[in-house]
Amino acid sequence: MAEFFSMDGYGGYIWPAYVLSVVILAGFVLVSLRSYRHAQKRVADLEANTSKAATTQG
Amino acid sequence: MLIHANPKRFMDLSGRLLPYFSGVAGFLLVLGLYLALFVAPKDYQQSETVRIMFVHVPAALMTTFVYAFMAVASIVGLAWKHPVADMAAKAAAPIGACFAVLMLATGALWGQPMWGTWWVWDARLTSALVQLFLYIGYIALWEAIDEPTRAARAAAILAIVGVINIPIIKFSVEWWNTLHQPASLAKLDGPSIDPSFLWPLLIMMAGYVMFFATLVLLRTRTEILNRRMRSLHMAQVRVGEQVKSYG
Repeated sequence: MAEFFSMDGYGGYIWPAYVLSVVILAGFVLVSLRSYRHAQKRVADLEANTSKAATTQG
Repeated sequence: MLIHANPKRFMDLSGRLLPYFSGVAGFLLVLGLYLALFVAPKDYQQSETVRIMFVHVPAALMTTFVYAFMAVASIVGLAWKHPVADMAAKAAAPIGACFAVLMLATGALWGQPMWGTWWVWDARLTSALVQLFLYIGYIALWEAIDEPTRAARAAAILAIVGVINIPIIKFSVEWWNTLHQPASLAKLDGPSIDPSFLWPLLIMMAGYVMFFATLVLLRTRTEILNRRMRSLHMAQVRVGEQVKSYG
Protein backbone atom coordinates (compact mmCIF):
# COMPACT_ATOMS: atom_id res chain seq x y z
CA MET A 1 0.00 0.00 0.00
CA ALA A 2 2.75 2.44 1.02
CA GLU A 3 4.63 1.30 -2.06
CA PHE A 4 1.64 2.10 -4.24
CA PHE A 5 1.41 5.62 -2.85
CA SER A 6 5.14 6.29 -3.05
CA MET A 7 5.16 5.38 -6.79
CA ASP A 8 8.90 4.68 -6.79
CA GLY A 9 9.50 7.99 -5.06
CA TYR A 10 7.56 9.93 -7.72
CA GLY A 11 4.28 10.03 -5.78
CA GLY A 12 4.84 13.72 -5.07
CA TYR A 13 4.42 14.43 -8.80
CA ILE A 14 2.00 11.71 -9.86
CA TRP A 15 -0.67 12.14 -7.19
CA PRO A 16 -0.98 15.92 -7.54
CA ALA A 17 -1.42 15.42 -11.31
CA TYR A 18 -4.32 13.00 -10.73
CA VAL A 19 -5.89 14.87 -7.83
CA LEU A 20 -5.77 18.15 -9.75
CA SER A 21 -7.36 16.53 -12.82
CA VAL A 22 -10.20 14.99 -10.80
CA VAL A 23 -10.80 18.11 -8.68
CA ILE A 24 -10.83 20.55 -11.63
CA LEU A 25 -13.05 18.36 -13.84
CA ALA A 26 -15.46 17.40 -11.03
CA GLY A 27 -15.58 20.99 -9.78
CA PHE A 28 -16.37 22.17 -13.30
CA VAL A 29 -19.26 19.69 -13.53
CA LEU A 30 -20.68 20.96 -10.25
CA VAL A 31 -20.43 24.63 -11.28
CA SER A 32 -22.03 23.88 -14.67
CA LEU A 33 -24.83 21.86 -13.08
CA ARG A 34 -25.56 24.61 -10.59
CA SER A 35 -25.87 27.32 -13.21
CA TYR A 36 -28.05 24.98 -15.31
CA ARG A 37 -30.45 24.34 -12.41
CA HIS A 38 -30.48 28.03 -11.57
CA ALA A 39 -31.39 28.95 -15.16
CA GLN A 40 -34.09 26.23 -15.24
CA LYS A 41 -35.68 27.60 -12.09
CA ARG A 42 -35.57 31.23 -13.26
CA VAL A 43 -37.21 30.34 -16.58
CA ALA A 44 -39.91 28.29 -14.82
CA ASP A 45 -40.64 31.19 -12.44
CA LEU A 46 -40.81 33.73 -15.25
CA GLU A 47 -43.05 31.47 -17.34
CA ALA A 48 -45.42 31.05 -14.40
CA ASN A 49 -45.47 34.83 -13.94
CA THR A 50 -46.09 35.45 -17.63
CA SER A 51 -49.09 33.13 -17.79
CA LYS A 52 -50.46 34.73 -14.61
CA ALA A 53 -50.00 38.19 -16.10
CA ALA A 54 -51.72 37.03 -19.30
CA THR A 55 -54.77 35.73 -17.38
CA THR A 56 -55.15 38.83 -15.21
CA GLN A 57 -54.79 41.06 -18.23
CA GLY A 58 -56.94 38.97 -20.60
CA MET B 1 -26.20 19.31 -37.73
CA LEU B 2 -27.84 22.35 -39.24
CA ILE B 3 -31.26 20.87 -38.55
CA HIS B 4 -30.48 21.00 -34.84
CA ALA B 5 -29.63 24.68 -34.93
CA ASN B 6 -33.18 25.46 -33.88
CA PRO B 7 -33.05 26.03 -30.07
CA LYS B 8 -36.29 24.12 -29.39
CA ARG B 9 -35.15 21.10 -31.38
CA PHE B 10 -31.74 21.30 -29.74
CA MET B 11 -33.33 21.26 -26.27
CA ASP B 12 -35.38 18.15 -27.17
CA LEU B 13 -32.46 16.26 -28.67
CA SER B 14 -29.85 17.24 -26.06
CA GLY B 15 -32.26 16.38 -23.26
CA ARG B 16 -32.55 12.87 -24.65
CA LEU B 17 -28.80 12.48 -25.28
CA LEU B 18 -27.50 13.83 -21.96
CA PRO B 19 -28.14 10.75 -19.77
CA TYR B 20 -26.35 8.48 -22.27
CA PHE B 21 -23.45 10.86 -22.80
CA SER B 22 -22.85 11.39 -19.09
CA GLY B 23 -23.15 7.65 -18.42
CA VAL B 24 -20.61 6.75 -21.10
CA ALA B 25 -18.27 9.55 -19.95
CA GLY B 26 -18.43 8.40 -16.32
CA PHE B 27 -17.86 4.76 -17.26
CA LEU B 28 -14.87 5.53 -19.51
CA LEU B 29 -13.25 7.87 -16.98
CA VAL B 30 -13.56 5.41 -14.08
CA LEU B 31 -12.27 2.55 -16.25
CA GLY B 32 -9.48 4.75 -17.61
CA LEU B 33 -8.36 5.86 -14.13
CA TYR B 34 -8.36 2.26 -12.93
CA LEU B 35 -6.25 1.09 -15.89
CA ALA B 36 -3.92 4.09 -15.62
CA LEU B 37 -3.21 3.68 -11.91
CA PHE B 38 -3.46 -0.08 -11.32
CA VAL B 39 -3.02 -1.96 -14.59
CA ALA B 40 -0.54 -0.04 -16.77
CA PRO B 41 3.08 -1.05 -16.05
CA LYS B 42 5.84 1.40 -15.23
CA ASP B 43 8.06 2.57 -18.06
CA TYR B 44 11.64 1.26 -18.29
CA GLN B 45 12.97 4.82 -18.70
CA GLN B 46 10.43 7.00 -16.92
CA SER B 47 9.45 4.56 -14.14
CA GLU B 48 6.08 5.46 -12.54
CA THR B 49 6.03 9.04 -13.84
CA VAL B 50 4.73 7.68 -17.15
CA ARG B 51 1.35 7.53 -15.37
CA ILE B 52 1.15 11.31 -15.66
CA MET B 53 0.81 10.73 -19.40
CA PHE B 54 -2.71 9.33 -18.88
CA VAL B 55 -3.98 12.65 -17.53
CA HIS B 56 -1.62 14.96 -19.44
CA VAL B 57 -2.06 13.75 -23.03
CA PRO B 58 -5.91 13.68 -22.96
CA ALA B 59 -5.97 17.19 -21.47
CA ALA B 60 -3.59 18.40 -24.19
CA LEU B 61 -5.65 16.69 -26.91
CA MET B 62 -8.82 18.33 -25.61
CA THR B 63 -7.18 21.75 -25.37
CA THR B 64 -6.80 21.77 -29.15
CA PHE B 65 -9.94 19.72 -29.92
CA VAL B 66 -12.25 22.06 -28.01
CA TYR B 67 -10.77 25.11 -29.71
CA ALA B 68 -11.24 23.48 -33.13
CA PHE B 69 -14.86 22.75 -32.14
CA MET B 70 -15.33 26.42 -31.18
CA ALA B 71 -13.85 27.56 -34.49
CA VAL B 72 -16.16 25.30 -36.51
CA ALA B 73 -19.19 26.38 -34.45
CA SER B 74 -18.14 30.02 -34.94
CA ILE B 75 -17.95 29.59 -38.72
CA VAL B 76 -21.44 28.04 -38.71
CA GLY B 77 -22.66 30.87 -36.47
CA LEU B 78 -21.17 33.57 -38.67
CA ALA B 79 -22.06 32.09 -42.04
CA TRP B 80 -25.55 30.73 -41.34
CA LYS B 81 -26.53 32.91 -38.36
CA HIS B 82 -27.47 29.91 -36.26
CA PRO B 83 -27.88 31.04 -32.66
CA VAL B 84 -27.26 27.54 -31.24
CA ALA B 85 -23.84 27.42 -32.95
CA ASP B 86 -22.81 30.68 -31.27
CA MET B 87 -24.08 29.46 -27.91
CA ALA B 88 -22.27 26.12 -28.31
CA ALA B 89 -18.98 27.92 -29.00
CA LYS B 90 -19.51 30.14 -25.96
CA ALA B 91 -20.45 27.11 -23.83
CA ALA B 92 -17.32 25.22 -24.90
CA ALA B 93 -14.76 27.92 -24.07
CA PRO B 94 -14.58 27.47 -20.27
CA ILE B 95 -14.30 23.68 -20.72
CA GLY B 96 -11.36 24.23 -23.07
CA ALA B 97 -9.77 26.62 -20.58
CA CYS B 98 -10.05 23.93 -17.86
CA PHE B 99 -8.32 21.42 -20.13
CA ALA B 100 -5.60 23.96 -20.94
CA VAL B 101 -4.93 24.57 -17.23
CA LEU B 102 -4.78 20.80 -16.65
CA MET B 103 -2.46 20.32 -19.62
CA LEU B 104 -0.04 22.94 -18.29
CA ALA B 105 -0.22 21.80 -14.65
CA THR B 106 0.20 18.08 -15.34
CA GLY B 107 2.91 18.90 -17.87
CA ALA B 108 4.85 20.84 -15.24
CA LEU B 109 4.41 17.97 -12.76
CA TRP B 110 5.86 15.63 -15.37
CA GLY B 111 8.59 18.00 -16.51
CA GLN B 112 10.13 18.51 -13.08
CA PRO B 113 11.07 14.85 -12.44
CA MET B 114 11.89 13.99 -16.08
CA TRP B 115 13.51 17.16 -17.45
CA GLY B 116 14.58 18.71 -14.16
CA THR B 117 12.40 21.78 -14.72
CA TRP B 118 8.73 22.73 -14.29
CA TRP B 119 8.79 25.03 -17.29
CA VAL B 120 10.90 26.08 -20.26
CA TRP B 121 10.08 28.71 -22.86
CA ASP B 122 10.37 26.29 -25.75
CA ALA B 123 8.06 26.39 -28.75
CA ARG B 124 5.69 23.64 -27.57
CA LEU B 125 5.18 24.93 -24.05
CA THR B 126 4.93 28.56 -25.15
CA SER B 127 2.35 27.83 -27.87
CA ALA B 128 0.38 25.74 -25.33
CA LEU B 129 0.37 28.70 -22.93
CA VAL B 130 -0.79 30.97 -25.79
CA GLN B 131 -3.73 28.57 -26.23
CA LEU B 132 -4.82 29.18 -22.62
CA PHE B 133 -4.61 32.94 -23.24
CA LEU B 134 -6.76 32.52 -26.38
CA TYR B 135 -9.45 30.83 -24.29
CA ILE B 136 -9.28 33.56 -21.65
CA GLY B 137 -9.41 36.28 -24.32
CA TYR B 138 -12.41 34.61 -25.98
CA ILE B 139 -14.32 34.39 -22.67
CA ALA B 140 -13.41 37.99 -21.80
CA LEU B 141 -14.63 39.19 -25.19
CA TRP B 142 -18.07 37.62 -24.63
CA GLU B 143 -18.22 39.28 -21.21
CA ALA B 144 -17.11 42.65 -22.54
CA ILE B 145 -19.89 43.12 -25.13
CA ASP B 146 -23.44 43.38 -23.82
CA GLU B 147 -25.40 42.86 -26.99
CA PRO B 148 -25.40 39.07 -27.69
CA THR B 149 -25.30 39.13 -31.51
CA ARG B 150 -22.41 41.62 -31.56
CA ALA B 151 -20.57 39.66 -28.87
CA ALA B 152 -21.10 36.44 -30.83
CA ARG B 153 -19.69 37.99 -34.00
CA ALA B 154 -16.59 39.44 -32.33
CA ALA B 155 -15.91 36.24 -30.38
CA ALA B 156 -16.39 34.13 -33.52
CA ILE B 157 -13.79 36.16 -35.40
CA LEU B 158 -11.32 35.73 -32.52
CA ALA B 159 -11.99 31.97 -32.42
CA ILE B 160 -11.45 31.61 -36.16
CA VAL B 161 -8.27 33.72 -36.24
CA GLY B 162 -6.92 31.94 -33.17
CA VAL B 163 -7.14 28.56 -34.90
CA ILE B 164 -3.75 29.35 -36.44
CA ASN B 165 -2.22 28.39 -33.07
CA ILE B 166 -3.40 24.77 -33.34
CA PRO B 167 -1.01 23.70 -36.16
CA ILE B 168 1.70 25.72 -34.38
CA ILE B 169 1.20 23.62 -31.22
CA LYS B 170 0.99 20.41 -33.24
CA PHE B 171 4.10 20.96 -35.35
CA SER B 172 6.14 22.97 -32.84
CA VAL B 173 7.98 19.80 -31.83
CA GLU B 174 9.05 19.26 -35.45
CA TRP B 175 9.72 22.81 -36.62
CA TRP B 176 11.75 23.88 -33.61
CA ASN B 177 14.18 22.27 -31.25
CA THR B 178 12.05 21.65 -28.18
CA LEU B 179 12.59 19.98 -24.83
CA HIS B 180 9.13 18.47 -25.29
CA GLN B 181 9.20 15.11 -27.08
CA PRO B 182 7.70 14.72 -30.58
CA ALA B 183 4.40 12.93 -31.23
CA SER B 184 4.04 9.25 -30.30
CA LEU B 185 0.39 8.75 -31.26
CA ALA B 186 -0.63 10.81 -34.27
CA LYS B 187 2.05 9.60 -36.65
CA LEU B 188 1.77 8.43 -40.25
CA ASP B 189 3.43 5.08 -39.51
CA GLY B 190 1.18 4.33 -36.53
CA PRO B 191 1.67 5.00 -32.83
CA SER B 192 5.09 4.20 -31.33
CA ILE B 193 3.79 3.29 -27.90
CA ASP B 194 3.39 -0.11 -26.27
CA PRO B 195 -0.20 -1.49 -26.17
CA SER B 196 -0.01 -1.73 -22.36
CA PHE B 197 0.20 2.10 -22.32
CA LEU B 198 -1.81 2.72 -25.48
CA TRP B 199 -5.08 1.16 -24.27
CA PRO B 200 -5.40 3.02 -20.98
CA LEU B 201 -4.46 6.20 -22.84
CA LEU B 202 -7.06 5.69 -25.58
CA ILE B 203 -9.76 4.98 -23.00
CA MET B 204 -8.85 8.10 -21.03
CA MET B 205 -8.93 10.13 -24.27
CA ALA B 206 -12.36 8.74 -25.15
CA GLY B 207 -13.49 9.55 -21.60
CA TYR B 208 -12.29 13.15 -21.95
CA VAL B 209 -14.05 13.49 -25.32
CA MET B 210 -17.33 12.21 -23.82
CA PHE B 211 -16.83 14.46 -20.80
CA PHE B 212 -16.60 17.41 -23.18
CA ALA B 213 -19.63 16.24 -25.19
CA THR B 214 -21.70 16.00 -22.00
CA LEU B 215 -20.60 19.35 -20.63
CA VAL B 216 -20.98 21.23 -23.89
CA LEU B 217 -24.57 19.95 -24.23
CA LEU B 218 -25.36 20.91 -20.63
CA ARG B 219 -23.77 24.36 -20.93
CA THR B 220 -25.41 25.08 -24.30
CA ARG B 221 -28.75 24.23 -22.68
CA THR B 222 -27.90 26.70 -19.92
CA GLU B 223 -27.13 29.37 -22.54
CA ILE B 224 -30.47 28.76 -24.28
CA LEU B 225 -32.32 28.96 -20.95
CA ASN B 226 -30.50 32.20 -20.10
CA ARG B 227 -31.57 33.73 -23.42
CA ARG B 228 -35.12 32.59 -22.86
CA MET B 229 -34.91 34.14 -19.39
CA ARG B 230 -33.86 37.48 -20.90
CA SER B 231 -36.62 37.50 -23.48
CA LEU B 232 -39.27 36.51 -20.91
CA HIS B 233 -38.00 39.25 -18.64
CA MET B 234 -38.22 41.81 -21.45
CA ALA B 235 -41.75 40.62 -22.31
CA GLN B 236 -42.82 41.04 -18.68
CA VAL B 237 -41.37 44.51 -18.52
CA ARG B 238 -43.40 45.38 -21.64
CA VAL B 239 -46.58 43.81 -20.21
CA GLY B 240 -45.98 45.74 -16.99
CA GLU B 241 -45.74 49.00 -18.93
CA GLN B 242 -48.94 48.23 -20.85
CA VAL B 243 -50.80 47.43 -17.64
CA LYS B 244 -49.58 50.74 -16.21
CA SER B 245 -50.73 52.68 -19.29
CA TYR B 246 -54.19 51.02 -19.16
CA GLY B 247 -54.52 51.98 -15.50
